[in-house]
Amino acid sequence: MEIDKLFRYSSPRAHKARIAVGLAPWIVSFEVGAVLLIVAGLAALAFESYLGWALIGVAAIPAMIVRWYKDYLHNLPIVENGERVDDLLDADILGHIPPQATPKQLLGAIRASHSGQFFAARMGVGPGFVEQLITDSRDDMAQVWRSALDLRSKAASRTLHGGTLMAALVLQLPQHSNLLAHLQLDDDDLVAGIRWYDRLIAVIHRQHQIVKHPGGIGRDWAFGWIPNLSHFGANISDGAGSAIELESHKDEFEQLVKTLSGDGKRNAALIGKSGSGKTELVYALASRLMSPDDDLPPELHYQQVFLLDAASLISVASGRGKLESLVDQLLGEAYAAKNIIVCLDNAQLFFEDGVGSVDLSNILLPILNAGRLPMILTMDEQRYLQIEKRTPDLAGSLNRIMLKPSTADETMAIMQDQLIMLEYRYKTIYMYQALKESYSLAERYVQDLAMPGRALKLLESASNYTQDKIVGTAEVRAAIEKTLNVKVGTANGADERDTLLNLEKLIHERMIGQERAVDAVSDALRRARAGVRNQNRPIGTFLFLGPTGVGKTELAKSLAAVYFGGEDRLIRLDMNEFVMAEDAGRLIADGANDPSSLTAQVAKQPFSVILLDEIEKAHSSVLTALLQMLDEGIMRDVNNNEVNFRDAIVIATSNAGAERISEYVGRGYKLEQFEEQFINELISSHIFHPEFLNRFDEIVVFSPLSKSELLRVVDLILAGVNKTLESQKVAVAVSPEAKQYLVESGYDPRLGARPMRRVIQKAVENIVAKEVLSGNAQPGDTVQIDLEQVKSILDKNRLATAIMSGEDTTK
Amino acid sequence: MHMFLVGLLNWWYGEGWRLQWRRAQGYLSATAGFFSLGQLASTLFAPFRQISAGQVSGPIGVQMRAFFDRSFSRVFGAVFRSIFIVIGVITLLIVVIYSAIIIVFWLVVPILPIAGLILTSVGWMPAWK
Repeated sequence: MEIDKLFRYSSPRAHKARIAVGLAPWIVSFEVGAVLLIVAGLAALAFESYLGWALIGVAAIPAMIVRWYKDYLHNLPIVENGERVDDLLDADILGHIPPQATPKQLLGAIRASHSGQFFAARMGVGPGFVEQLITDSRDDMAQVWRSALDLRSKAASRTLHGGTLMAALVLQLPQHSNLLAHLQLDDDDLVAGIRWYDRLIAVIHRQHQIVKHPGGIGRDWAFGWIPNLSHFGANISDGAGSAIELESHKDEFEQLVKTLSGDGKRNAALIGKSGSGKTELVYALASRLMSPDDDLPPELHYQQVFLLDAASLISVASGRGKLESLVDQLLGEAYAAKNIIVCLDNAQLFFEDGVGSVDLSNILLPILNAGRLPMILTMDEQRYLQIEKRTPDLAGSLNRIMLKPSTADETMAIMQDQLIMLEYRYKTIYMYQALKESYSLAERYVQDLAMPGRALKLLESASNYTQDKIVGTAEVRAAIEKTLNVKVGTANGADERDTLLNLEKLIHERMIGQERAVDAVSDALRRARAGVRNQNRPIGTFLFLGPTGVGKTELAKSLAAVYFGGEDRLIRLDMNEFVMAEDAGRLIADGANDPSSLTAQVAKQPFSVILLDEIEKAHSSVLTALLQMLDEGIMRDVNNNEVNFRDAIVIATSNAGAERISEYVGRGYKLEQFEEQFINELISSHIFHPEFLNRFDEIVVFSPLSKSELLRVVDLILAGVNKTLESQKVAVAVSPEAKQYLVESGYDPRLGARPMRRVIQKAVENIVAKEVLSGNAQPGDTVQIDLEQVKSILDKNRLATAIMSGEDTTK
Repeated sequence: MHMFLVGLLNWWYGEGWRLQWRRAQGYLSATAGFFSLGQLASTLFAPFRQISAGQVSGPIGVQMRAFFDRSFSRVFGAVFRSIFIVIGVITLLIVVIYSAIIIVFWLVVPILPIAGLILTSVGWMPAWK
């Protein structure tokens, strides 16, 4: 039978596994029994009873069973080069599998195993997940075993464990992709979960092999006393109790070892962005030197790594002279001791004058040049480039080792290793999905650190957002949403869903008309929050065209207020300030020098509405600089840091061709009838290049406001006036005729609704002010304004303006 | 039961016994490591903790003084290390004897029940006094 080629119930290993399972509950009793029999036997012999021999002899039976169990059965080894499931499966599961097992019975066996519990807790794929879905038919077992063996080879596992079997059971389900999608997993993630368990077992195994006293009691007797170094430095070799397995930068590690053991200058400068793992590499070296193997040059065996920290040295030695003398003394001591590697962490602080740093180039350069004292310097990439420019001699003295950020797979493995400590510290359990989410969100949002530091930082902060001490994707998203004030993932809260579904209505509470434009931005936002948009572009990019005062800027402001959390979420750039080619540099200026640069503002506040007002006035170089942002949602600042625009809505406005729009409307055309023709005219008149216009998701033409729309604008402004007066408990009501008169007075085809606010201010607000000051309007009153009152004020003003401008007032 | 006994005895005289040998090797190597025997032997005449180990320049008198200081440091280091080497070697011998007893005793454990029954039935008793 085919199934016998995959799994043999009666194999010797399966039999031993069942013995192990049967013995497990009795082992303590056997141990106690053996001791009691020996004691009783000796006592009997002491009282000259021959029975003592029999008791001692019989004690050998439980003692042998205990040894057999502890030294062999408990960790039953796999059959080397075995190909069947029973050759490779963990004994704690193998021993529980009944003859003629079915998938359901196998699930019962997995449930009790550590590996099965690990898979359930970390991946969310536990017996409860599939219990109702799997079959109870023995015929399905062949496929399960085949799938398990296949998963083992994919994961490059040595054994088969509960995780592998659990994954194999899930993969048998017809709808497994959908099921896994509910857990935000796919087939590859199951393999990654199997690897994670393998790694954990490997780490535990390594920890068991750690030597408690590396090198023995006489290790340091041939080397010098280091009283000062012990006092002012940190001996990281002392704490190298755990074997640090490097998951990234293995080549750089080899390079470091070669540099420190070579004949040349024995110094190495580890250069990389913060978070790229420079200090971790030094710790890994310290750990490896304390557990040396044949791959490590003998001259480095048991060398100790001392970390010197600039801040603590400066705090004990005030003044340059004292500090120089202290550093000189420490380095002299390290050299004389002959078994010390000095590590200057954040070494840039030793080569520049500033707060918390002192330039010690004078004493460090000769030592680095001589190269006799092994030294490691860790430096930030940007700072190194600055120092290199300022002190070229230093660059010549150092053996540079550049550290690149870790890759996705390396970062996942590093996070898995670090979780052991994180979970201990925060008393939490991290799920696999949290690790994956941390990587992808950190990649996108955390810009100030390199991988793996940026993913680890996010993972750590996620522990503050747990409800039940389990960190999943929701906690990681919450951490990034709270710290950066962005919205990631899809809309979950009822309030947010309501806002999204009623976005048009909410925007129209603040602005009148322009339904097409409002619909376009609302749709874009809904697509984004439903998770169906392209994640590698901004949420939406729009070009609003139309005459002034028709609501282009107001729509951007309304959107910022209604959805993004306030008008302060609007990043506004007046593009008429970017008319020169060199102004393109101001878009990407360093935030430290120019906090108003586009990149600096967006880096600080990625979830926002970006308004590029009067875009047609910007220089073509400036428009070119914006192309990548519109296309891919990223822009590089002057320091080459990537700034993310993928959580922003970009709105560019332009008055270009406003006269043509008025002309079309004046001739009775509707927007839809002339829109395409109008955009073609803009391209042919070279106001915008087609490649620029093509970058926008939508180009929306705003039509001039009609008088009926202006009447609604008046209502909106009056509602604003009433809101202002609310604190004084006074209200204002304007008669319909007076409103009509306000529209007639405030309407200017060239300026749209813009003069309307001024007209209302003159007419309505002035009347109310007088009424309040004269005491006619008391709290609780409503000031009624009719046509006559409005007319008297506006006509008086019009007369005054006319006289001032020398117009004929008799007309 | 048959499989149980066969499995147990098979392991006891096969992998189990080899495990005792490996353990004995582990004990020996850990003892040698703890006393740093290799390190102490290879640095037997090195100046103790690098005291007076540095090169001194100056008049002949100063150099002679430095030479005697260095020599004293070396002799002191050698004596000190030798003491620990001797202690280490003695400990190592004890570990060897202990391991040898375990390895030999291991072989006779399975026959203890029979031996015990035989001794009980023949009524042999060692002369305590």
